[in-house]
Amino acid sequence: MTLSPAERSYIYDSLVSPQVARTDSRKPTQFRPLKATCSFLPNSNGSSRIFTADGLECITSVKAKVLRTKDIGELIKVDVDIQGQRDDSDLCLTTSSILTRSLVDNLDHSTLKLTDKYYYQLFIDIVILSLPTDFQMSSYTLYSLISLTSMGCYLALKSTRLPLLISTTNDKEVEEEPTFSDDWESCTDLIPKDSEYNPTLLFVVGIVGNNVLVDPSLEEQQVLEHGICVGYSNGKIVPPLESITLSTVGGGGVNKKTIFKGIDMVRQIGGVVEKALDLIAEQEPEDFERAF
Amino acid sequence: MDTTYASSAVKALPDAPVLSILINHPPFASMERKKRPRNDRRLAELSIILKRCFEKTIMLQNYARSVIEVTVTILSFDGGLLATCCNSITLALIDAGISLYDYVTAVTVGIYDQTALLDLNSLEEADLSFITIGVVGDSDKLNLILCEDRLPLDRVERLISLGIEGCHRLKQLMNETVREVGTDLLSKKQ
Repeated sequence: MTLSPAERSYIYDSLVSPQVARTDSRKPTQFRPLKATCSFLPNSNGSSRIFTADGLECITSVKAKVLRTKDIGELIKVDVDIQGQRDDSDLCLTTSSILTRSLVDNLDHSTLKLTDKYYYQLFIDIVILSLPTDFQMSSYTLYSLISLTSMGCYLALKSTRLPLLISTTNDKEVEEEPTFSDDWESCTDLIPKDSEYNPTLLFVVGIVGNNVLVDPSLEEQQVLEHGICVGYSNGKIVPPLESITLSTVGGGGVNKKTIFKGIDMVRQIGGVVEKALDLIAEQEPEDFERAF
Repeated sequence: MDTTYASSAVKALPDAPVLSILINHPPFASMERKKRPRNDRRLAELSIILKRCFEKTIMLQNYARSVIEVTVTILSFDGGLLATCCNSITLALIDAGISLYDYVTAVTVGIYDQTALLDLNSLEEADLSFITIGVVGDSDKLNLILCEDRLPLDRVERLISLGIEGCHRLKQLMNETVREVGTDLLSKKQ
Protein backbone atom coordinates (compact mmCIF):
# COMPACT_ATOMS: atom_id res chain seq x y z
CA MET A 1 0.00 0.00 0.00
CA THR A 2 1.46 3.33 -1.06
CA LEU A 3 0.19 6.62 0.27
CA SER A 4 -0.61 9.51 -2.02
CA PRO A 5 1.33 12.78 -1.52
CA ALA A 6 -1.70 14.36 0.09
CA GLU A 7 -2.21 11.49 2.54
CA ARG A 8 1.48 11.46 3.29
CA SER A 9 1.61 15.14 4.12
CA TYR A 10 -1.53 14.90 6.26
CA ILE A 11 -0.15 12.03 8.30
CA TYR A 12 3.26 13.68 8.58
CA ASP A 13 1.77 16.94 9.84
CA SER A 14 -0.37 15.22 12.43
CA LEU A 15 2.57 13.14 13.69
CA VAL A 16 4.99 16.04 13.86
CA SER A 17 2.66 18.39 15.72
CA PRO A 18 3.26 18.90 19.46
CA GLN A 19 0.02 17.03 20.23
CA VAL A 20 0.92 13.85 18.38
CA ALA A 21 -2.10 12.50 16.51
CA ARG A 22 -1.42 8.98 15.29
CA THR A 23 -3.40 7.42 12.49
CA ASP A 24 -5.09 4.94 14.81
CA SER A 25 -5.44 7.47 17.66
CA ARG A 26 -2.91 5.72 19.85
CA LYS A 27 -0.74 7.51 22.37
CA PRO A 28 2.95 7.79 21.38
CA THR A 29 3.76 5.17 24.02
CA GLN A 30 1.00 2.76 23.10
CA PHE A 31 1.34 -0.56 21.27
CA ARG A 32 -1.23 -1.99 18.92
CA PRO A 33 -3.30 -4.78 20.44
CA LEU A 34 -1.55 -8.13 20.73
CA LYS A 35 -2.80 -11.52 21.77
CA ALA A 36 -0.62 -14.26 23.14
CA THR A 37 -0.73 -17.69 24.73
CA CYS A 38 2.03 -19.76 26.24
CA SER A 39 3.22 -23.35 26.68
CA PHE A 40 0.90 -25.07 24.25
CA LEU A 41 3.41 -27.22 22.35
CA PRO A 42 3.65 -30.62 24.02
CA ASN A 43 6.97 -31.49 22.38
CA SER A 44 8.80 -28.33 23.46
CA ASN A 45 10.16 -27.15 26.77
CA GLY A 46 8.60 -23.76 26.29
CA SER A 47 6.45 -22.18 23.62
CA SER A 48 4.45 -19.11 22.81
CA ARG A 49 2.07 -17.92 20.16
CA ILE A 50 1.67 -14.20 19.63
CA PHE A 51 -0.36 -12.41 17.00
CA THR A 52 -1.23 -8.88 16.02
CA ALA A 53 -4.34 -7.33 14.57
CA ASP A 54 -2.69 -6.88 11.18
CA GLY A 55 -2.38 -10.60 10.59
CA LEU A 56 1.17 -11.36 11.70
CA GLU A 57 1.36 -14.53 13.71
CA CYS A 58 4.47 -15.86 15.36
CA ILE A 59 4.97 -19.23 17.01
CA THR A 60 8.07 -19.71 19.12
CA SER A 61 9.36 -22.94 20.56
CA VAL A 62 12.21 -23.47 22.99
CA LYS A 63 13.89 -26.85 23.14
CA ALA A 64 16.74 -27.59 25.49
CA LYS A 65 19.61 -30.00 24.98
CA VAL A 66 22.54 -30.86 27.21
CA LEU A 67 25.86 -29.83 25.74
CA ARG A 68 29.42 -30.17 26.96
CA THR A 69 31.05 -26.88 26.17
CA LYS A 70 32.63 -23.77 27.55
CA ASP A 71 31.68 -21.58 24.62
CA ILE A 72 28.93 -19.28 25.81
CA GLY A 73 28.24 -18.05 22.28
CA GLU A 74 26.80 -21.32 21.10
CA LEU A 75 24.39 -21.83 23.96
CA ILE A 76 21.52 -20.08 22.23
CA LYS A 77 20.58 -20.85 18.66
CA VAL A 78 17.79 -18.86 17.08
CA ASP A 79 16.22 -20.04 13.87
CA VAL A 80 13.59 -17.96 12.07
CA ASP A 81 11.32 -19.45 9.45
CA ILE A 82 9.03 -17.12 7.55
CA GLN A 83 6.20 -18.47 5.44
CA GLY A 84 6.83 -17.81 1.79
CA GLN A 85 10.48 -16.84 2.25
CA ARG A 86 13.57 -18.90 1.65
CA ASP A 87 15.55 -20.00 4.69
CA ASP A 88 18.55 -17.99 3.53
CA SER A 89 16.57 -14.86 2.65
CA ASP A 90 17.81 -11.56 4.03
CA LEU A 91 14.76 -11.17 6.21
CA CYS A 92 15.18 -14.54 7.97
CA LEU A 93 18.91 -14.12 8.47
CA THR A 94 18.73 -10.55 9.75
CA THR A 95 15.91 -11.26 12.16
CA SER A 96 17.60 -14.33 13.59
CA SER A 97 20.99 -12.64 13.93
CA ILE A 98 19.54 -9.59 15.69
CA LEU A 99 17.61 -11.84 18.08
CA THR A 100 20.56 -14.13 18.76
CA ARG A 101 22.80 -11.19 19.52
CA SER A 102 20.29 -9.51 21.77
CA LEU A 103 19.70 -12.70 23.76
CA VAL A 104 23.32 -13.82 24.00
CA ASP A 105 24.66 -10.37 24.94
CA ASN A 106 22.46 -10.11 28.00
CA LEU A 107 22.38 -13.76 28.93
CA ASP A 108 22.72 -14.76 32.56
CA HIS A 109 24.84 -17.88 32.11
CA SER A 110 24.03 -19.31 35.49
CA THR A 111 20.49 -20.09 34.25
CA LEU A 112 21.88 -22.44 31.62
CA LYS A 113 24.66 -23.90 33.72
CA LEU A 114 24.25 -27.51 34.81
CA THR A 115 27.71 -28.37 36.07
CA ASP A 116 31.15 -26.97 35.48
CA LYS A 117 31.37 -28.74 32.15
CA TYR A 118 27.79 -29.16 31.03
CA TYR A 119 25.39 -26.47 29.91
CA TYR A 120 21.92 -26.41 28.47
CA GLN A 121 21.84 -25.43 24.85
CA LEU A 122 18.61 -23.70 23.87
CA PHE A 123 17.16 -24.01 20.39
CA ILE A 124 14.71 -21.22 19.78
CA ASP A 125 12.68 -21.87 16.64
CA ILE A 126 10.42 -19.13 15.40
CA VAL A 127 7.80 -19.62 12.72
CA ILE A 128 6.06 -16.63 11.18
CA LEU A 129 2.84 -18.10 9.88
CA SER A 130 1.77 -15.42 7.47
CA LEU A 131 3.10 -12.20 6.06
CA PRO A 132 0.39 -9.87 4.78
CA THR A 133 0.99 -9.05 1.11
CA ASP A 134 1.20 -5.36 2.00
CA PHE A 135 4.36 -6.07 3.94
CA GLN A 136 6.21 -8.29 1.60
CA MET A 137 8.13 -5.69 -0.34
CA SER A 138 8.59 -3.14 2.40
CA SER A 139 11.35 -2.56 4.90
CA TYR A 140 8.58 -2.36 7.45
CA THR A 141 8.36 -6.14 7.65
CA LEU A 142 11.72 -6.53 9.36
CA TYR A 143 11.01 -3.92 11.99
CA SER A 144 7.55 -5.12 12.82
CA LEU A 145 8.94 -8.64 13.03
CA ILE A 146 11.80 -7.65 15.33
CA SER A 147 9.61 -6.45 18.14
CA LEU A 148 7.01 -9.19 17.67
CA THR A 149 9.54 -12.04 17.61
CA SER A 150 11.44 -10.64 20.59
CA MET A 151 8.22 -10.67 22.59
CA GLY A 152 7.58 -14.21 21.35
CA CYS A 153 11.05 -15.26 22.56
CA TYR A 154 10.50 -13.54 25.89
CA LEU A 155 7.24 -15.39 26.48
CA ALA A 156 8.61 -18.73 25.32
CA LEU A 157 11.70 -18.42 27.53
CA LYS A 158 9.59 -17.36 30.49
CA SER A 159 7.36 -20.40 30.07
CA THR A 160 10.24 -22.83 29.57
CA ARG A 161 10.30 -25.72 32.01
CA LEU A 162 13.19 -28.11 32.42
CA PRO A 163 13.47 -31.47 34.17
CA LEU A 164 14.91 -31.45 37.67
CA LEU A 165 18.64 -32.12 37.87
CA ILE A 166 19.30 -34.86 40.42
CA SER A 167 23.04 -35.35 40.00
CA THR A 168 25.56 -33.10 41.69
CA THR A 169 26.42 -29.73 40.19
CA ASN A 170 30.05 -30.07 41.06
CA ASP A 171 32.06 -32.23 38.67
CA LYS A 172 35.45 -30.61 39.02
CA GLU A 173 37.06 -33.78 40.35
CA VAL A 174 34.77 -36.56 39.28
CA GLU A 175 33.70 -36.85 35.70
CA GLU A 176 29.94 -37.09 35.91
CA GLU A 177 27.21 -36.78 33.33
CA PRO A 178 24.16 -34.88 34.52
CA THR A 179 21.11 -37.02 35.26
CA PHE A 180 17.57 -35.79 35.52
CA SER A 181 14.46 -36.70 37.42
CA ASP A 182 11.90 -38.71 35.46
CA ASP A 183 9.06 -36.97 37.22
CA TRP A 184 7.79 -34.17 35.04
CA GLU A 185 5.75 -32.84 37.95
CA SER A 186 8.92 -31.72 39.67
CA CYS A 187 10.22 -29.66 36.76
CA THR A 188 11.87 -26.31 37.32
CA ASP A 189 11.47 -23.01 35.52
CA LEU A 190 14.36 -21.98 33.30
CA ILE A 191 13.94 -18.48 34.69
CA PRO A 192 12.71 -18.79 38.28
CA LYS A 193 10.00 -16.38 39.38
CA ASP A 194 12.33 -14.59 41.80
CA SER A 195 15.21 -14.35 39.33
CA GLU A 196 16.75 -11.00 38.48
CA TYR A 197 17.30 -12.02 34.90
CA ASN A 198 14.83 -11.27 32.13
CA PRO A 199 15.36 -11.96 28.43
CA THR A 200 15.92 -8.91 26.26
CA LEU A 201 12.95 -7.20 24.68
CA LEU A 202 13.48 -5.17 21.51
CA PHE A 203 11.53 -2.00 20.85
CA VAL A 204 11.23 -0.22 17.55
CA VAL A 205 10.86 3.52 17.98
CA GLY A 206 10.00 5.81 15.09
CA ILE A 207 11.30 9.36 15.00
CA VAL A 208 9.48 12.17 13.30
CA GLY A 209 10.46 15.78 13.92
CA ASN A 210 10.91 16.07 17.68
CA ASN A 211 8.42 13.33 18.40
CA VAL A 212 9.04 9.66 19.12
CA LEU A 213 6.50 6.88 18.60
CA VAL A 214 6.66 3.29 19.71
CA ASP A 215 5.51 0.46 17.41
CA PRO A 216 4.87 2.51 14.25
CA SER A 217 2.21 1.10 11.94
CA LEU A 218 2.57 0.54 8.22
CA GLU A 219 1.04 3.94 7.35
CA GLU A 220 3.15 5.75 9.90
CA GLN A 221 6.44 4.26 8.86
CA GLN A 222 6.00 5.65 5.37
CA VAL A 223 6.31 9.21 6.65
CA LEU A 224 8.78 8.69 9.52
CA GLU A 225 12.15 10.35 9.27
CA HIS A 226 14.14 7.78 11.16
CA GLY A 227 13.94 4.96 13.63
CA ILE A 228 15.91 3.29 16.39
CA CYS A 229 15.85 -0.23 17.72
CA VAL A 230 16.41 -0.37 21.48
CA GLY A 231 16.94 -3.37 23.73
CA TYR A 232 15.47 -3.40 27.21
CA SER A 233 16.02 -5.81 30.05
CA ASN A 234 15.27 -5.46 33.75
CA GLY A 235 14.87 -1.71 33.89
CA LYS A 236 18.02 -1.09 31.89
CA ILE A 237 18.67 -0.19 28.27
CA VAL A 238 20.86 -2.95 26.85
CA PRO A 239 22.46 -3.63 23.50
CA PRO A 240 21.57 -3.70 20.65
CA LEU A 241 20.95 -0.02 20.23
CA GLU A 242 20.91 0.65 16.57
CA SER A 243 19.64 3.14 14.11
CA ILE A 244 17.32 1.70 11.51
CA THR A 245 16.07 3.19 8.29
CA LEU A 246 12.36 3.06 8.86
CA SER A 247 11.59 5.68 6.29
CA THR A 248 10.96 4.82 2.68
CA VAL A 249 11.29 8.46 1.61
CA GLY A 250 14.43 10.60 1.92
CA GLY A 251 14.46 10.94 5.68
CA GLY A 252 16.25 13.77 7.38
CA GLY A 253 18.85 14.31 10.05
CA VAL A 254 18.01 13.43 13.61
CA ASN A 255 18.61 15.56 16.63
CA LYS A 256 20.52 13.66 19.29
CA LYS A 257 18.05 14.92 21.87
CA THR A 258 15.31 13.07 20.01
CA ILE A 259 17.30 9.85 20.16
CA PHE A 260 17.63 10.23 23.94
CA LYS A 261 13.94 10.99 24.09
CA GLY A 262 13.26 7.69 22.32
CA ILE A 263 15.53 5.78 24.69
CA ASP A 264 13.85 7.41 27.67
CA MET A 265 10.48 6.36 26.35
CA VAL A 266 11.62 2.73 26.08
CA ARG A 267 12.93 2.88 29.65
CA GLN A 268 9.53 4.16 30.67
CA ILE A 269 7.35 1.61 28.89
CA GLY A 270 9.73 -1.37 29.06
CA GLY A 271 8.71 -2.27 32.59
CA VAL A 272 5.03 -2.10 31.74
CA VAL A 273 5.47 -4.36 28.73
CA GLU A 274 7.52 -6.83 30.77
CA LYS A 275 4.86 -6.92 33.44
CA ALA A 276 2.09 -7.49 30.89
CA LEU A 277 4.03 -10.33 29.25
CA ASP A 278 4.82 -11.89 32.64
CA LEU A 279 1.11 -12.00 33.39
CA ILE A 280 0.50 -13.93 30.17
CA ALA A 281 3.38 -16.31 30.89
CA GLU A 282 2.00 -17.11 34.33
CA GLN A 283 -1.47 -17.90 33.04
CA GLU A 284 -2.55 -21.50 33.07
CA PRO A 285 -2.54 -23.15 29.66
CA GLU A 286 -5.88 -23.03 27.89
CA ASP A 287 -8.41 -25.79 27.38
CA PHE A 288 -7.29 -27.01 24.02
CA GLU A 289 -3.91 -28.05 25.15
CA ARG A 290 -5.10 -29.81 28.25
CA ALA A 291 -6.18 -32.44 25.77
CA PHE A 292 -2.54 -33.40 25.23
CA MET B 1 3.59 -31.74 -9.84
CA ASP B 2 1.59 -34.44 -11.47
CA THR B 3 1.07 -33.22 -15.03
CA THR B 4 -1.07 -36.10 -16.27
CA TYR B 5 -3.63 -35.38 -13.65
CA ALA B 6 -3.64 -31.64 -14.32
CA SER B 7 -4.30 -32.18 -18.02
CA SER B 8 -7.32 -34.38 -17.32
CA ALA B 9 -8.71 -31.74 -14.97
CA VAL B 10 -8.31 -29.15 -17.70
CA LYS B 11 -10.42 -31.26 -20.02
CA ALA B 12 -13.25 -31.49 -17.56
CA LEU B 13 -13.33 -27.86 -16.55
CA PRO B 14 -11.54 -25.21 -18.58
CA ASP B 15 -11.22 -22.63 -15.80
CA ALA B 16 -10.71 -25.03 -12.91
CA PRO B 17 -9.27 -23.39 -9.78
CA VAL B 18 -5.69 -24.03 -8.83
CA LEU B 19 -5.44 -25.74 -5.48
CA SER B 20 -2.07 -25.52 -3.83
CA ILE B 21 -1.29 -27.30 -0.58
CA LEU B 22 1.90 -26.60 1.29
CA ILE B 23 2.93 -28.59 4.33
CA ASN B 24 5.35 -26.95 6.69
CA HIS B 25 7.26 -29.08 9.18
CA PRO B 26 9.16 -26.81 11.58
CA PRO B 27 12.14 -28.34 13.41
CA PHE B 28 10.41 -28.36 16.80
CA ALA B 29 7.42 -30.46 15.71
CA SER B 30 8.86 -33.86 16.53
CA MET B 31 10.27 -34.98 19.87
CA GLU B 32 13.87 -34.84 18.65
CA ARG B 33 14.68 -31.50 17.06
CA LYS B 34 15.39 -32.08 13.40
CA LYS B 35 15.49 -29.62 10.57
CA ARG B 36 13.78 -30.60 7.34
CA PRO B 37 14.70 -29.01 4.05
CA ARG B 38 11.97 -26.89 2.51
CA ASN B 39 11.63 -29.12 -0.55
CA ASP B 40 11.36 -32.29 1.49
CA ARG B 41 10.28 -35.12 -0.81
CA ARG B 42 8.07 -36.83 1.70
CA LEU B 43 6.07 -33.68 2.38
CA ALA B 44 5.78 -32.89 -1.33
CA GLU B 45 4.38 -36.39 -1.85
CA LEU B 46 1.82 -35.95 0.89
CA SER B 47 0.72 -32.61 -0.47
CA ILE B 48 0.13 -34.16 -3.91
CA ILE B 49 -2.00 -36.91 -2.36
CA LEU B 50 -4.00 -34.32 -0.43
CA LYS B 51 -4.35 -32.16 -3.51
CA ARG B 52 -5.85 -35.03 -5.48
CA CYS B 53 -8.18 -35.81 -2.63
CA PHE B 54 -9.48 -32.28 -2.24
CA GLU B 55 -9.83 -31.63 -5.95
CA LYS B 56 -12.57 -34.25 -5.81
CA THR B 57 -14.17 -32.72 -2.72
CA ILE B 58 -14.25 -28.99 -3.45
CA MET B 59 -17.07 -27.85 -5.74
CA LEU B 60 -14.66 -26.73 -8.42
CA GLN B 61 -17.29 -25.14 -10.64
CA ASN B 62 -17.84 -22.45 -7.97
CA TYR B 63 -14.22 -21.32 -8.02
CA ALA B 64 -13.35 -20.93 -11.67
CA ARG B 65 -10.21 -18.93 -12.36
CA SER B 66 -9.19 -18.68 -8.73
CA VAL B 67 -6.40 -19.98 -6.55
CA ILE B 68 -7.04 -21.77 -3.28
CA GLU B 69 -3.91 -21.76 -1.17
CA VAL B 70 -3.72 -24.07 1.81
CA THR B 71 -0.80 -23.97 4.23
CA VAL B 72 -0.49 -26.59 6.93
CA THR B 73 1.96 -26.07 9.78
CA ILE B 74 2.68 -29.09 11.92
CA LEU B 75 3.09 -27.97 15.50
CA SER B 76 3.52 -31.31 17.19
CA PHE B 77 3.94 -34.59 15.46
CA ASP B 78 2.96 -37.93 16.91
CA GLY B 79 1.80 -40.18 14.10
CA GLY B 80 -0.98 -39.98 11.56
CA LEU B 81 0.57 -37.14 9.60
CA LEU B 82 -1.47 -37.52 6.43
CA ALA B 83 -4.73 -38.18 8.29
CA THR B 84 -4.34 -35.16 10.55
CA CYS B 85 -3.43 -32.91 7.63
CA CYS B 86 -6.53 -34.11 5.77
CA ASN B 87 -8.83 -33.46 8.73
CA SER B 88 -7.38 -30.05 9.44
CA ILE B 89 -7.63 -29.02 5.78
CA THR B 90 -11.30 -30.06 5.74
CA LEU B 91 -11.98 -27.90 8.78
CA ALA B 92 -9.97 -24.99 7.41
CA LEU B 93 -11.80 -25.09 4.08
CA ILE B 94 -15.15 -25.08 5.90
CA ASP B 95 -13.96 -22.19 8.04
CA ALA B 96 -12.97 -20.31 4.90
CA GLY B 97 -16.47 -20.84 3.53
CA ILE B 98 -15.35 -22.90 0.54
CA SER B 99 -18.11 -25.17 -0.65
CA LEU B 100 -17.40 -28.88 -0.30
CA TYR B 101 -19.55 -31.81 -1.30
CA ASP B 102 -19.04 -33.29 2.14
CA TYR B 103 -16.53 -33.68 4.93
CA VAL B 104 -13.43 -35.71 4.22
CA THR B 105 -12.18 -37.37 7.36
CA ALA B 106 -9.11 -39.54 7.53
CA VAL B 107 -7.59 -41.89 10.04
CA THR B 108 -4.78 -44.44 10.21
CA VAL B 109 -5.47 -48.10 10.95
CA GLY B 110 -2.69 -50.51 11.80
CA ILE B 111 -2.53 -54.21 12.40
CA TYR B 112 -0.81 -56.04 15.22
CA ASP B 113 -1.03 -59.81 14.84
CA GLN B 114 -4.80 -60.32 14.54
CA THR B 115 -5.89 -57.04 16.09
CA ALA B 116 -6.73 -53.95 14.10
CA LEU B 117 -5.71 -50.70 15.79
CA LEU B 118 -7.12 -47.27 15.11
CA ASP B 119 -5.05 -44.05 15.03
CA LEU B 120 -1.45 -45.13 15.63
CA ASN B 121 1.11 -42.91 17.32
CA SER B 122 4.61 -42.52 15.91
CA LEU B 123 6.10 -45.36 17.97
CA GLU B 124 3.43 -47.74 16.72
CA GLU B 125 3.79 -46.45 13.19
CA ALA B 126 7.47 -47.30 13.23
CA ASP B 127 6.83 -50.97 14.02
CA LEU B 128 3.43 -51.90 12.63
CA SER B 129 1.97 -52.04 9.15
CA PHE B 130 -0.66 -49.41 8.67
CA ILE B 131 -2.90 -47.83 6.13
CA THR B 132 -4.34 -44.31 5.94
CA ILE B 133 -7.86 -43.95 4.64
CA GLY B 134 -10.06 -40.93 4.03
CA VAL B 135 -13.83 -41.21 3.84
CA VAL B 136 -16.36 -38.84 2.27
CA GLY B 137 -19.02 -37.83 4.78
CA ASP B 138 -21.18 -40.65 6.13
CA SER B 139 -20.76 -42.79 3.04
CA ASP B 140 -18.48 -45.75 2.51
CA LYS B 141 -16.70 -43.95 -0.32
CA LEU B 142 -12.96 -43.77 0.09
CA ASN B 143 -11.44 -40.55 -1.18
CA LEU B 144 -7.94 -41.13 0.02
CA ILE B 145 -5.94 -44.24 0.65
CA LEU B 146 -2.27 -44.68 1.30
CA CYS B 147 -0.50 -47.85 2.21
CA GLU B 148 3.26 -48.02 2.33
CA ASP B 149 3.73 -51.30 4.21
CA ARG B 150 3.04 -54.94 3.55
CA LEU B 151 -0.37 -56.04 4.72
CA PRO B 152 -1.92 -59.50 4.71
CA LEU B 153 -4.59 -59.28 2.02
CA ASP B 154 -7.25 -61.13 4.02
CA ARG B 155 -7.03 -58.54 6.79
CA VAL B 156 -7.33 -55.47 4.59
CA GLU B 157 -11.10 -55.53 4.51
CA ARG B 158 -11.36 -55.63 8.31
CA LEU B 159 -8.90 -52.78 8.60
CA ILE B 160 -10.78 -50.64 6.12
CA SER B 161 -14.14 -51.25 7.76
CA LEU B 162 -12.71 -50.30 11.16
CA GLY B 163 -11.19 -47.20 9.55
CA ILE B 164 -14.49 -46.21 8.01
CA GLU B 165 -16.20 -46.49 11.38
CA GLY B 166 -13.48 -44.31 12.90
CA CYS B 167 -13.91 -41.77 10.13
CA HIS B 168 -17.65 -41.60 10.68
CA ARG B 169 -17.12 -40.88 14.36
CA LEU B 170 -14.55 -38.23 13.46
CA LYS B 171 -17.01 -36.65 11.07
CA GLN B 172 -19.57 -36.41 13.86
CA LEU B 173 -17.06 -34.73 16.15
CA MET B 174 -15.91 -32.31 13.46
CA ASN B 175 -19.49 -31.50 12.54
CA GLU B 176 -20.29 -30.71 16.17
CA THR B 177 -17.29 -28.39 16.42
CA VAL B 178 -18.12 -26.63 13.16
CA ARG B 179 -21.68 -26.03 14.33
CA GLU B 180 -20.54 -24.83 17.72
CA VAL B 181 -18.15 -22.32 16.17
CA GLY B 182 -20.78 -21.30 13.63
CA THR B 183 -23.44 -20.61 16.26
CA ASP B 184 -20.89 -18.71 18.29
CA LEU B 185 -19.99 -16.53 15.30
CA LEU B 186 -23.63 -15.90 14.48
CA SER B 187 -24.47 -14.89 18.03
CA LYS B 188 -21.61 -12.37 17.96
CA LYS B 189 -22.87 -10.82 14.74
CA GLN B 190 -26.33 -10.02 16.06
